[in-house]
Amino acid sequence: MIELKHISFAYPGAELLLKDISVSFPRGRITTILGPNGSGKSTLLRLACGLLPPGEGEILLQGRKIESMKPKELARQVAMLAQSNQPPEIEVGELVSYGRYPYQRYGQGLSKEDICRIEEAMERVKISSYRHRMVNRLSGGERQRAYIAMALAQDTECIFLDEPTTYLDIHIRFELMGLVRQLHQAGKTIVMVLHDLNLALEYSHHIILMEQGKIAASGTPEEIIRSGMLDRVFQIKTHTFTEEGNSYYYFAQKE
Amino acid sequence: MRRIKEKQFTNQQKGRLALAVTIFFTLGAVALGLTMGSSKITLGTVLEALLTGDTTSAAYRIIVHSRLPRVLGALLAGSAFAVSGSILQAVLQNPLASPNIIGVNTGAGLLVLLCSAFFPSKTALLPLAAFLGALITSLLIFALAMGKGVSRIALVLTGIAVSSMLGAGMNCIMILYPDAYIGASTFLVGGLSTVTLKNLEFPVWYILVGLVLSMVMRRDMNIIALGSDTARSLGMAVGRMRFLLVMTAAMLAGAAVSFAGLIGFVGLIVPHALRFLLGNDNRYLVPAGIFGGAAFVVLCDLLARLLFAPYEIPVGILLSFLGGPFFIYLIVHSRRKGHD
Repeated sequence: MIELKHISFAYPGAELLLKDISVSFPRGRITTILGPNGSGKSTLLRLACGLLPPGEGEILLQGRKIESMKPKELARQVAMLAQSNQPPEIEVGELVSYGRYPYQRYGQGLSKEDICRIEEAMERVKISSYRHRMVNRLSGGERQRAYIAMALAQDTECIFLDEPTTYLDIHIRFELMGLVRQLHQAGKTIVMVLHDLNLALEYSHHIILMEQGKIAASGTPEEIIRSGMLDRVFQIKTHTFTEEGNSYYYFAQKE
Repeated sequence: MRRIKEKQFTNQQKGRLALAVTIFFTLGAVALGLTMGSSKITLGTVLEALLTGDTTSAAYRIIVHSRLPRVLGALLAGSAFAVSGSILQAVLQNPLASPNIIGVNTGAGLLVLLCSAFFPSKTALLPLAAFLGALITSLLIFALAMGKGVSRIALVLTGIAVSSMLGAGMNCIMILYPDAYIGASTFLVGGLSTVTLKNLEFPVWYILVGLVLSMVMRRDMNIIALGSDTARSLGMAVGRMRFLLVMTAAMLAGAAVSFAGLIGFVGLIVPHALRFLLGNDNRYLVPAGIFGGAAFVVLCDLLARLLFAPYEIPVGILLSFLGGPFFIYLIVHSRRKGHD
């Protein structure tokens, strides 16, 4: 379990972005951080997986301070799918193999186990057939699959995803979220930042709602809807429909 | 269509092919560099002169005192500049970065001239001074590039500004210490006509160490190119790795500047030409760049010798004629892709 205790953070020369945040991401669950632009959700995610050092407070992974962990040690426990950069001009298989970097000694090649994990990861997200294709020539959905395979090859208990569905077509978004669900079923703890409220409410077990650098609410999707906080933070009106036991949401402008 | 796809080469196959082709070109370029010139010497005579070591023969004197140092200098400088360019492009995540464009060569040049002015007899210090000059300039540019909101073009402009300032410093030294550097005008444009085997004695080690380090770190260059967050989340100590890579690039470019002067554009032309074939995979770009850069500079130097024979132009001038338009093409291409 990852716990953040009394975290405050500001980028150099900027105002305080996160203010005294204490939160934990439950083990084996899908947690989504929601909030309007600038509320600090991506920063919270980057802090939680050790990409940023906290200004104040502490971050604990299974009870240990993550700052005390070596980079490769941390990378064997937490994988992060960062927001999409310029896609690299390398082959898919090569990209996936970088997931084994935390397990390799410097200058050492891939071991049998490394190759086995890489193959498993590519099989699981069904990209084995295009291992020799260049990453920069893949469609958005295929590219995200390749990155997820890299995170899988990293063989960590936690996987963090920063806005994984941005710029993707709607059917690819559903496909990707199906993949996230598969990862959870394989025992992974998933923490992600999403912009799409529908996807977040449908696929998450736990929601953390942020507003102006603070946590406005935290709970199951149903609890968040019932509290009315989602409507207040996003200034919307949420309508809920139930069909065959499933809840669906429709968001309208607040009058 | 499917048949064509099935026949496509994997990147590993392309990498091996590129390595074989560049090695072949390097060997061919060395043969041409040793045999062609104002007096034509056959390959047989070259081998005979080198094997027998007959110091009285004219062929021996031409080969050992003129052509061999020049070809060796071109091989070393070509490899060093090409690999240095590949490293800087990966670390700065900027395809326009190369040692001459961002001022690394000028930084090295300034310290070479300073060293020549104040310690004229200490030639062993030249590569070290060049390395330090290149390193300081690289780190300065690197610090600026890591700042928020610095576009690719802005980085290049900053490099040009830094280059101008350092160039002014070089001009000052040459005015105040006119005897500081023999062949200073060739040094400024970059040329190999004054290179002797003694000049290469120290830089060769810097370059060999730099090339070995770049071969060891070529996979790390790929990981850094994925972006800082991704590289960190894979467990890389990104800051340390970037510093090591910048240091290696500075060592390579600095050592080459110490004997070849401010030769430009090799670090831009060679990696980009190889990228057309190999994509941006540094596992294959670096080894192909070592031989591709070597062959390219040997051939360019040969051309510079023969183009206006009996006169010859410094190879740096020829490379500027080739590199200038190529650089403009890259800027236009970069803007079209929306990278600015």
